[in-house]
Amino acid sequence: MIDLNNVKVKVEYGTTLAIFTAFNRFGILRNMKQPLGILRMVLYFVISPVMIGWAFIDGHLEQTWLYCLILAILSLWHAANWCYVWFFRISKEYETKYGQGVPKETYLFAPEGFVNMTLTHDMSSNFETLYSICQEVYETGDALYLFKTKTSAYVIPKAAITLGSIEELRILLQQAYGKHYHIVK
Amino acid sequence: MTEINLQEHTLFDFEINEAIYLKFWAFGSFRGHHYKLKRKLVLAALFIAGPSVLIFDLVYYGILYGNFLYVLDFFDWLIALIPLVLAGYVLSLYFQGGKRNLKKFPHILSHVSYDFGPESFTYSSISALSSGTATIAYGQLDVAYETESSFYLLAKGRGVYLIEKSSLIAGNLTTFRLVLQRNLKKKYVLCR
Repeated sequence: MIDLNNVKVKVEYGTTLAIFTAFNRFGILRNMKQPLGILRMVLYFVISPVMIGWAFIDGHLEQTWLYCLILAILSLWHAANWCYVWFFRISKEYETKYGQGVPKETYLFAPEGFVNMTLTHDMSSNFETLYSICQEVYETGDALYLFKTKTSAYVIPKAAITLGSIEELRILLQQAYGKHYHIVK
Repeated sequence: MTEINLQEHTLFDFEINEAIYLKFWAFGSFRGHHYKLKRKLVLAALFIAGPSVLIFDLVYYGILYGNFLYVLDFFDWLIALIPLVLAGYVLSLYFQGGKRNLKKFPHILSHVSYDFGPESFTYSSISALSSGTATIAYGQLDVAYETESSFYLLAKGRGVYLIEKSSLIAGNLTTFRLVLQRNLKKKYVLCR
């Protein structure tokens, strides 16, 4: 499927907590930019306080404190959940996933696709993949994220390039993804 | 009497087609020991609870003592519609989510083969967009579910391995089940 004699860029790294956190936080913010993400953001930051206020006023005027209490709890739960995900869940997930050993990731990029090799103490994999498996690519200051689904992506830290350069990789990916290649400032 | 050898390898080979994936989708939404009962209860609750507040408002304020729907303010309508919208969303996810996923990610449909050994298993897949092999120790698995026709192995953050019992090509299911039980202990779940 992929010609390994034509590899242009090689990337090698161990998935550290910093890389994992940066990717997950980027994923959350990226999801908020999607149509449903905007709805969620409005829910968290606009509707929640309005609902709490409205519930209290309505509850006070009509003496229906049960509605008021339920809505206040729901609204606060939304906000608390968001804070939990941002500050605590990512490191917990990292511990669950990689607690027994940091996986070593290797990527080989060729014009038609890439090879991804993963090695941990109890798992090894080697997959050849065409670029069309990913939907969107985002380039941030530190890394490139090739999103397969809304929540999972191939993570390519720029500092981990051991063969070729970021410019070569950018050209390869821009050719493959066109307008789906986004540079995030 | 047949002797069971836990060192024996169990091999599966099959195509993940739409029917197999949708079967997994239906299971995955309610996975667990009593997934069928859970599914019945949750779906019934959603069908009943979703429109219940709206129906109550319409009957109580609109029919029972004449038409007094005008007394309902925006806030009351919101309270009536939120459960309906949420139930509709969850039901559409259950009934249509699998098909939508397949449309979006056609590479889910692939040819897969498994070789289960005593300590680890090898997984190979070939689809139109990707191909490769992985060797995974049982310790990487979070949980294994066995249903009437399939096994579903959930890996730590690495997705799910779907295995159709009918695709067995070497070894036997009893050995495979015992190997899973030995390695996963309580994380092996027999579903009814």
